[in-house]
Amino acid sequence: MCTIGIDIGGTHTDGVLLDAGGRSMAYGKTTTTAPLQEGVKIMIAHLLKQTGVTPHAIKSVVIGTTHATNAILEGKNLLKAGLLRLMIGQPQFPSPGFNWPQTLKNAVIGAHETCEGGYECDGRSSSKFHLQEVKDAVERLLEKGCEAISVVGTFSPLNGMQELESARIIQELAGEGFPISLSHQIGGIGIIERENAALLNSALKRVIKEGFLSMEQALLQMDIQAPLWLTENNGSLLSLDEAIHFPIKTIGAGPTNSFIGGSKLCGIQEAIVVDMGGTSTDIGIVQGGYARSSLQPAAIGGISLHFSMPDMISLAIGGGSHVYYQDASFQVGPQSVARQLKNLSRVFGGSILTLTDAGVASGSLQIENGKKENIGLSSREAQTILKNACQQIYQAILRLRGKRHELPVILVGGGAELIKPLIQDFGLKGWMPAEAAVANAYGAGLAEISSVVDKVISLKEREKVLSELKEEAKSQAIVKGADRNHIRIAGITILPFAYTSDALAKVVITASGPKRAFDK
Amino acid sequence: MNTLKAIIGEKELDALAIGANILGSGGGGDPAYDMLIAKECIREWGPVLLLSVDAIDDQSWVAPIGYMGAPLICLEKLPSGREFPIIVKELAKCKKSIGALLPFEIGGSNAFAPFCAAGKLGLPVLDADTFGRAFPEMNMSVCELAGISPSPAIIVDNHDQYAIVHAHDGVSMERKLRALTTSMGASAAVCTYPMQGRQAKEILIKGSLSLAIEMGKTFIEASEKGELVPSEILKQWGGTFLCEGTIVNNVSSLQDSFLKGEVCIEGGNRQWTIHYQNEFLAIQENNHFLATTPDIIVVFDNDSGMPVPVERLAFGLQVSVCALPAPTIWQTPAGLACVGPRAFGFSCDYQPVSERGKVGCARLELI
Repeated sequence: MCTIGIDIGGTHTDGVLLDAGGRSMAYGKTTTTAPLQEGVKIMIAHLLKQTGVTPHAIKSVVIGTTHATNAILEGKNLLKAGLLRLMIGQPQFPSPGFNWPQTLKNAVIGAHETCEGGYECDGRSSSKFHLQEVKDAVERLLEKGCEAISVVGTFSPLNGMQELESARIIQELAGEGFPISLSHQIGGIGIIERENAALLNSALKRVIKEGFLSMEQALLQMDIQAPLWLTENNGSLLSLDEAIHFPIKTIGAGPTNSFIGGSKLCGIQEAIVVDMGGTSTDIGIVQGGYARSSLQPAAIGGISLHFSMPDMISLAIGGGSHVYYQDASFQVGPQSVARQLKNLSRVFGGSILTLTDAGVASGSLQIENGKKENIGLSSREAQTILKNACQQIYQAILRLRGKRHELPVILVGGGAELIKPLIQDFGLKGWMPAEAAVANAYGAGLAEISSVVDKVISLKEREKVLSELKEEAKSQAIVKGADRNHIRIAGITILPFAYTSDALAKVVITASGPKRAFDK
Repeated sequence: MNTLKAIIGEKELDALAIGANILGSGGGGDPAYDMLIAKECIREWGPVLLLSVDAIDDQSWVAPIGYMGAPLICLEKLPSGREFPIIVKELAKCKKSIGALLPFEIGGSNAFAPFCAAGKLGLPVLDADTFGRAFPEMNMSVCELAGISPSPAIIVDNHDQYAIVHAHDGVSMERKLRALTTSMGASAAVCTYPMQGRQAKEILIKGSLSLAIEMGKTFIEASEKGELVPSEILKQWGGTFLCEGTIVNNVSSLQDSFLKGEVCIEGGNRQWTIHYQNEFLAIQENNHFLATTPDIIVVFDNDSGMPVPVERLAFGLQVSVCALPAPTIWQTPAGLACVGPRAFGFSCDYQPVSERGKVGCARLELI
């Protein structure tokens, strides 16, 4: 049985075919298309042809994508979301999206209403929650033209009842199929971040549905009947259905997939992974085979979310970065030709000097039919430019690595060739795997199924409660398709609540395991 | 006459968040939400005047305010915004007409409380506090040390329900407020130890808000220049580097509604234990104490340079532990009786971290 891992980026669609042991059998890179499934079909056909594997031997297809992230960053094709707050005391501040970048706020938040509601930390509901008030508020949101509604209530992760009742009212008024996001289904404790995530989730519903609903159909056309998965920000799997309901969960998956992919390609559990793409370079740490997650709350497009995201440094240096001469030296970035590389950069006949041009001129990169004579850099100048880019990345590596001098460096991504001097000239120990350019697709192919239990619960009977929660997390993961023989508890966080009488604590338990083989 | 000292806008609040976290010694709660609220208040009602304590009228009343409760609850229950106006109104009824607000605690999220109310109420904020850092109990205050009455205290929930409490002393007041906080859903807005300007001048810890803002600015400047943040802070404010290593264990539990625990750090072949109760209280290597309360023990994340709160102590985190000197009032015998190591059950005497020998100076460059 085989798995296909795909990464759909803004510019390229990459693919890897993995055998049952998780080894790469074939890989490739093509241009991302609109609609997305065309590029995916081209990629899969290429992988099958290269290996002679039949469509029936494919047991799962896993896609990592920056589709949702790009929609947020570009502010395009987003739904106007209405926000319904069910909050104790009807707080005035902070208002929804208060610290968001203004353009995104305008694009995403259509209107908001606050109703008295929510729960106390011990599960008591606010005495003043009235469905009629909710109904009036929803009517006002719809009148203002909201195309989706997000509902967020105080302590809803403890009790989702009021949010569910509100969803019923929204459906009555707006009709079945009207896009709704309930915060308790999206995030845990932390009401502002949960509200942000619920708003973005509503905004993204159309773009992900349009992008992926026909993907399953496309696979069937190729006679592939395997389940289709997307990857989540923590490197685990989402079913297509989950991804369509909760598109916000697909953001941030890209770097996680590259970091895990890079480390697995080299067979190394502890490393720094440098992923150079067309516009940026992400540098992260892999610990015990997993991307180390950040302590700071994650942010996307300047909006804070409480998802676990990999701890990384992003630099605006990529294969498409502009190179220009200023103050008697060559500067790299931050502007990039991005997906216009093949029209604008000199090696492709354009007029803009890019880092890719420098790579070709220095001899470290070969491009078929490239117009090397059009670049206009001496090999020495080109090497200076690459060294300059590497110097900036080197500084970031030192910062991330701290005192762990022994950590090796793994170079991946479409631009990995360009930063080889990091290993040759900067004295770092490391590798660039053969499949470096498709490490993200490889990482997607290896993603595991995981399940998170995030509850506020009394720990008076600590051991009993914890073991019950662990079992709950494991069985949820098994229901989702994880292999029961290889499932493990990937993380436990316990945060006791002070000033409560029942030893209440927030407990977050993650169970994770590889995909179950479907026919054995 | 009120002398204007400084104007606090959104930029100063960014710096205050970092300084308040450092002075919070791991506790006091994450100020992220309170900072958002304070910033929106400033956008609505304009910048806030920060007033030097010496500029307040002797007869004018000042209100030390903040929130009591579990930091995690504050991540769900947002204040209604009506709490502090209710407090000021009720104090006026008690013939205490308030001329300025101040945070009762500079460490952590409470540093922001007055900025969430000052604009709306048209009041200045005093550049002072009553803790000089963060502490787990309301009575661990310089007001208690100076014999100021904690009464009347006013405690308000986010449903406009409130209690006015009179108690004989600070310890008894703390107990009552704690019970009320629990009944109010584990978080509530509080004012206690209201006092007059002449008392404020004598007893408050002066300049704590500007200190926190300065620390934050130093931090931001250093990190923008890519410099070593903790060492910059230690250099300027007489702090000491204590140890550096990886967190290998963290045992925490809830006792008498406090988050108590021990975190174990390993570096080289050495091992250190930090004891905490909402805040970091003491650090020891074997049986030897390197620093204790009331000195301000700060744990910095080696990767980001940020101070790490107790709730975020995680296995595998690489940290540097430092200590900043306690406000001098806490170093007096009376101060130590209130917040010294023995007050928290440690069987050792306080020795200022600055006098324990230059433990880490040579290693500081490594940070």
